[in-house]
Amino acid sequence: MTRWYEHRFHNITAQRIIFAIIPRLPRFLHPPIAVVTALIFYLMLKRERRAVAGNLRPVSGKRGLALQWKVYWVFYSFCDLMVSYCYVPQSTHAELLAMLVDPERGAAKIEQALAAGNGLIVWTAHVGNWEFASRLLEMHGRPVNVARVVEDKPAEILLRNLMASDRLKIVDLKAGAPATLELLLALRRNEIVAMQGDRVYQRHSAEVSFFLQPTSFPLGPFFLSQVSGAPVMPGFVIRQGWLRYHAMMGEPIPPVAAADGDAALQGALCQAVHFLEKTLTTHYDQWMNFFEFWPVASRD
Amino acid sequence: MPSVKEQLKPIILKSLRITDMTPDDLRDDQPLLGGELEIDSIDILQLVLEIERHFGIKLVQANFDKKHFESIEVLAAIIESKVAAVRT
Repeated sequence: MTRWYEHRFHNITAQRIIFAIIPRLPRFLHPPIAVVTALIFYLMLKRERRAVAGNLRPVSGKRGLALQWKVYWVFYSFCDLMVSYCYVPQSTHAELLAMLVDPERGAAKIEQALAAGNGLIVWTAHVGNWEFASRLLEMHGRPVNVARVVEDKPAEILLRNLMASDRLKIVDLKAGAPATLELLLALRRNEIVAMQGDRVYQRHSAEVSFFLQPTSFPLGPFFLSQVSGAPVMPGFVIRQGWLRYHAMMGEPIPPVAAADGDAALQGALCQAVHFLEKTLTTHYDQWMNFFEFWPVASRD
Repeated sequence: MPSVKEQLKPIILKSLRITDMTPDDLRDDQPLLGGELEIDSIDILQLVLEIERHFGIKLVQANFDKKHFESIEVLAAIIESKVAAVRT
């Protein structure tokens, strides 16, 4: 399985340096530091640079220097994400809202979906700042269950511990069926489940067109929706400036009836993937995949 | 009328799409999680869906415990108690 952060600067030493230095500096110094750091990453991480270029080519339609400029911005977005760990985990709700360009953040849509009492599945991806997104979801007064594959690497443990709180619970998908039952139970308590939809972790997936290329996406969130009755809402938190964000929420996708079969599940998945595609059309420089998302396409 | 256990076994085979076994091949003490049936994260949803639809109950709710899936026997007992609760 490939991780979004799979590059050699995503380690505990780099994180400790960030967490020790950045909060002591005035905020106006952050962007220039990020500009230089992103340039260092861009120049040193050749394999990742090629992979990102391969990923952005079909998404952006750009070539040559224009493409490389956008590749550089992916590394810059990564710097913003890492620095955000200095602020996002401990910020109050008021402080988080102050970091948003639009404090409404799709809250009404979420409240409306939760009003039915079946919980809500938020379908997100490795775009923008997904940690910020999970903290925003906390504001709805219900526990947020983040479903992810938990790794025991020190860098991952440090970030996970930073984000841990009473309202934010990590459900490790490695546990298999018991993890699914935990998520189903959470939804039946009318809680929120957040899932990364752009990685296939298990065998139940479907191939759909994504930037004109057949791409596998997991069907798990849609099966969970079917059994729980919870709608699936695609949503991302996009960077609008240094540590400034904009929440983009799609329309809720209602649960598919079991009698409608696998084609209907795939149809629901297509709606979520379409929202991701639409978001990436504008914000592809925040799609943080440091590996070849389409291995064949990236070799051209 | 067949017992809950007898009704449950074909449901398990159908949900898991197991075609090379019959209900008689399933032992009462057969574990459902982590056992030889190899129920994965999606299979379990299909199983819950079928059980809830067939028996007209909510299997996974407030007082639910993963131990309810310890074996077919345990699960059948839980279903039986939920069916009885629905009827009263």
